[in-house]
Amino acid sequence: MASMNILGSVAEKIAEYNTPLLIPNYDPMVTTVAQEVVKESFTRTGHPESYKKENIYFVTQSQFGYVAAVDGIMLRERPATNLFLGTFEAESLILAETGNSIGALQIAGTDSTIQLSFFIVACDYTLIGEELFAASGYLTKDPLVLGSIKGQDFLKLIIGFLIIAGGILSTFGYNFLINFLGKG
Amino acid sequence: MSRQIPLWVCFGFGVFMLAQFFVPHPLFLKGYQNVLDWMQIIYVFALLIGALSFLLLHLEKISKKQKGWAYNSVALVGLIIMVFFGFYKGIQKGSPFLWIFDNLQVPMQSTMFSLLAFFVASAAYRGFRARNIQATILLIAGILVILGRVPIGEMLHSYIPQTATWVLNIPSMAARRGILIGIGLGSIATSLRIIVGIERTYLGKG
Repeated sequence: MASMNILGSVAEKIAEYNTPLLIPNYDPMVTTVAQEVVKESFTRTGHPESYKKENIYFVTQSQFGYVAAVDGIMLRERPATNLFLGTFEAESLILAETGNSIGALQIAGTDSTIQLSFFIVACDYTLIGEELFAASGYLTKDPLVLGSIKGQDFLKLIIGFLIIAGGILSTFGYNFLINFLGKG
Repeated sequence: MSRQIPLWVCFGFGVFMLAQFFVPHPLFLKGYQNVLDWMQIIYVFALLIGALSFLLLHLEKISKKQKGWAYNSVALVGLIIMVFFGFYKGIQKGSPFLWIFDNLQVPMQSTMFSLLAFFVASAAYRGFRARNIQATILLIAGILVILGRVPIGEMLHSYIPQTATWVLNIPSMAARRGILIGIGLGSIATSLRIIVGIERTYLGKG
């Protein structure tokens, strides 16, 4: 869902520049959502004629079948920019390295901590963890979305304070905070 | 109205799924099971739409002889053959469907997976170049961890595996937990934004 939120803003920009947008999908449900998101974005920017439904399509549900298909598309179409946003597994590095080999500008964002290192070395820009969720607010500047991100930051501050306080207190033998928060 | 109904449906199901996690009442458990069943049904229909879109896309590219149409033919022939054998002879052991799967698809998938080893090497070379202080620290940490995970590390010095374990369990784990806390909060905030209808890009409305 976080990547779909970003897709809306990306599709608007792409519609403005009248550039082709290719979205090969792993999940048929996501294909339908992506088609709707892109169609609305193109319409909103006043370029509904540029929307091509056939550019947003379902590929396969096989992990490496998908990688093979997307790598093939990258090598044949030579896209200027690749966006890898969402949850990734072993396919992350194969995709990112192929994109790197064709010289495409690459932007990645994932909540899979293990795959982050691969994206960091192979991509130009990487959204680390929560940045993926905050990106839609950054792009749309919607005050409601920005407000929720600010709330998230405050919560992180509180959690950080509790971690430091818990560490200091338990070092001196006071375990009441750890016992209180640790109760499941 | 066409916007309001999906928003209410999303809100209702979002709140229900949130509540059922905390309320162990049999009614909620039954409701949760029903939602999972509905998801399966919806997914099957979505898969049908996906297969249909796959078929139409490749047929169009082949009929117009677009660039790379030969690849589209391979994809289409593969789909037709698998569907044909699946329906005609079944998918049990010894069937042509399973034979094709075991002898063509599995080796091809393994081939793609094995490419990862080469990509790891090229990515590591790029990532580990000592261009500045941070990259040099990364390079040293990387070498220590690599050596610490293989027998030669222990043979060189007993401290190497210990240092590798320390790097993984202390600084690496601390960074990972920090990222995980952020991801957890980000997921909750995004889910709440979708449930209450602040974020509605998935409906096509930004």
